[in-house]
Amino acid sequence: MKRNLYKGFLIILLQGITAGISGQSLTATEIVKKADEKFNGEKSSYSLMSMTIVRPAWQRTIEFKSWTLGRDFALTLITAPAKETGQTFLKRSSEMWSWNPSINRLIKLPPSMMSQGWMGSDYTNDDILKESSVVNDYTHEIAGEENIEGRLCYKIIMTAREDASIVWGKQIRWIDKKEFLVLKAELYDEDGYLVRTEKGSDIKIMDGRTITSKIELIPEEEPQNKTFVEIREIKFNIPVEESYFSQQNMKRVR
Amino acid sequence: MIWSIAWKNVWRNKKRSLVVIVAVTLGIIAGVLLVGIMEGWINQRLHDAVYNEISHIQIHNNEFIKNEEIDLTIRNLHEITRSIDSLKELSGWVKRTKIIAMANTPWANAGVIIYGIDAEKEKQVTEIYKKIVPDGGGYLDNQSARDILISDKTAELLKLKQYIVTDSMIEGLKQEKIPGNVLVKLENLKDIRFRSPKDFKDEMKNVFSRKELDSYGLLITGKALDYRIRNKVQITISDKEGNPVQGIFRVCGIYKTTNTGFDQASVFVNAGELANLYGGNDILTHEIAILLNNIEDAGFVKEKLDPVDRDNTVRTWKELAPDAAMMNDFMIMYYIIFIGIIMLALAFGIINTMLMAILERTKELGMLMAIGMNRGRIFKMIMLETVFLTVVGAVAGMLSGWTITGVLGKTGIHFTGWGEGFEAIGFAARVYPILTPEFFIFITIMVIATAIVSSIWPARKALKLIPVEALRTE
Repeated sequence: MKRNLYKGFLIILLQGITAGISGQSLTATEIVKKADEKFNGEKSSYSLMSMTIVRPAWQRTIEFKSWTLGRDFALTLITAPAKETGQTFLKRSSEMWSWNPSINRLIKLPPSMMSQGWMGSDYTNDDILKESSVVNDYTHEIAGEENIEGRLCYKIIMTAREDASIVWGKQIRWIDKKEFLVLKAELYDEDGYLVRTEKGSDIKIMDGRTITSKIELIPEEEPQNKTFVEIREIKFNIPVEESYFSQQNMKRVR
Repeated sequence: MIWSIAWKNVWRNKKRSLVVIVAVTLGIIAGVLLVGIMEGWINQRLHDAVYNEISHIQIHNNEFIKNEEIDLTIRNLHEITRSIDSLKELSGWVKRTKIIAMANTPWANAGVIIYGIDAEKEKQVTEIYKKIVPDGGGYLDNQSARDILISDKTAELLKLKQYIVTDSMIEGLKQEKIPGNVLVKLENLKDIRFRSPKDFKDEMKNVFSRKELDSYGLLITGKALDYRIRNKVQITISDKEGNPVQGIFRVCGIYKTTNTGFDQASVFVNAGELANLYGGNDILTHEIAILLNNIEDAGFVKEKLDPVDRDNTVRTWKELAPDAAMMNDFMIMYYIIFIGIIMLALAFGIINTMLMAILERTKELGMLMAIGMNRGRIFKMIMLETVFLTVVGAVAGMLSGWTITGVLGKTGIHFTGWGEGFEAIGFAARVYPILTPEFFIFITIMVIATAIVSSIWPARKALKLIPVEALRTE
């Protein structure tokens, strides 16, 4: 009798828990996926961005246009400063080329150049190629909720999978609860030391979507070094063909 | 008769003769030491070049030498394998995959050459497995998957070296008889991570006085050094189609040879693991390294292997490390120049002394001539005096030089301050001078030649004396 009662209680308790989870609706992985798709989930896009590189002794701003199709194709054209205008970068799946009109040279970026900073910034070519996936290469876990600049966020701890080709040990991401925007990400090495912080801010509605229009990247070891990226204009689902992302077009595109 | 007269004459003016003898002794010691150090260095460089880096013979695809592309593997591998195995001069040989790669950690990146090796076989050819630094993990083994062996220098570039003061380290330092107040000051640095030796040194300068740093700085820095073994290193290479592929390896050990240049470039993984990365079922062979029993056989074995296949290039250590080969071959020239200059300087001293002796003994020589000593005997006497003077100094110099190099050869000379510079070009910071018997024969000949040459002028001077005039001098 007593035993049955206990059993019944357990069933009720279990039902309560499952109900609670479905009520909360999203798992950590789903949250990360949703946030990831905010930028990368659209079929195609066109954007106009500026990137400011801050170093202790100098700082400079680069402006560029960028076309993307799915995850595999991207074409970037530098529009400022004048000295670098016309340089283009083409990404087709895991390969990357660069065209430099001033020396009239098209080069395929070798692996050795993948981890160099893109246009002298703290972003590496590898970051741009995005070989690794925040969804598949990590295990995700919700570690609570925190306020980032007045917005309630999920705090998600992402631990790199043992077999994934990722140098990081883990990431902590703060993802806005309402809009699923990554407002802050901290990247740690395997010993648990913070290496790099990324911050998203200035939330705007662009082409009907809410996005963070400013992204700031701070390498922990050189806090005087920073890179800001600002999205000036973005359009989603523009009509663009795969043939647009060709080596010929690298030299033509304006 | 002439011999004993000459010997006695040497000791007539003890002070003057001793000055020359001491000069010769010191000159010879300097020469012996210099040559001993050079010889020690060259031997070490040659040994390290052969046993750490290049072996006696290497084989590559002709094209691979010009352009290290992944698909330029060794042609006709089976035939070559068979002819290598049939060599009777063979000590051991290995196949390697060699690919230019990019190594990444969260903090930094570096260009490297990644070698895919068979860890067990590699031990028969290279001595890298003996060069694992203290607390630096271990060598690769065939079981451990996805392990990578990197050098101390690469670890530094990839920021896998850190300096950290821990409780157990302070505990360890107590055993080393370090004063308590130094240890108390060290507590200030506890559990802070420093990423470069410079940061750590700067911080130590703030905490410790100059005197404390001089006495304990090196020891503390050494103990605080911590390699981040088992850390991830991401390797990016081009696969056969030229597409970048990436893989994660974990640091299993840290090695350090005497050649920083080699260290910086070379990382090692199991060949099979590397093959998983570039795909395909076969392990690619870009390089064959052969170790012989005797270095002298290299040229002969090359000639044997050369005709096996024209698509591959066989090169001996002399072609692979021309610097070491050049030094090995031309060192005798350096020795002749070094010792020659020392001997030339000594010769002037000897000539001066002998001329003075002749001047002093003008009357005596005139007398000897007048009573009928012929010119040949006078010449012989003066020459023998010079030879005695020089040889006494030379024997003393060689004996003490030999003793000193013998002792230093055991203890080694440590060029602490310049170690980094030496190692950048492949020379050890600690030198063990050595001397060969050939060198002693060589130096004996040089000494006797110097003595004879420098005796000619004083002897001629003596011969030119006219007995009647010489007798009249006071």
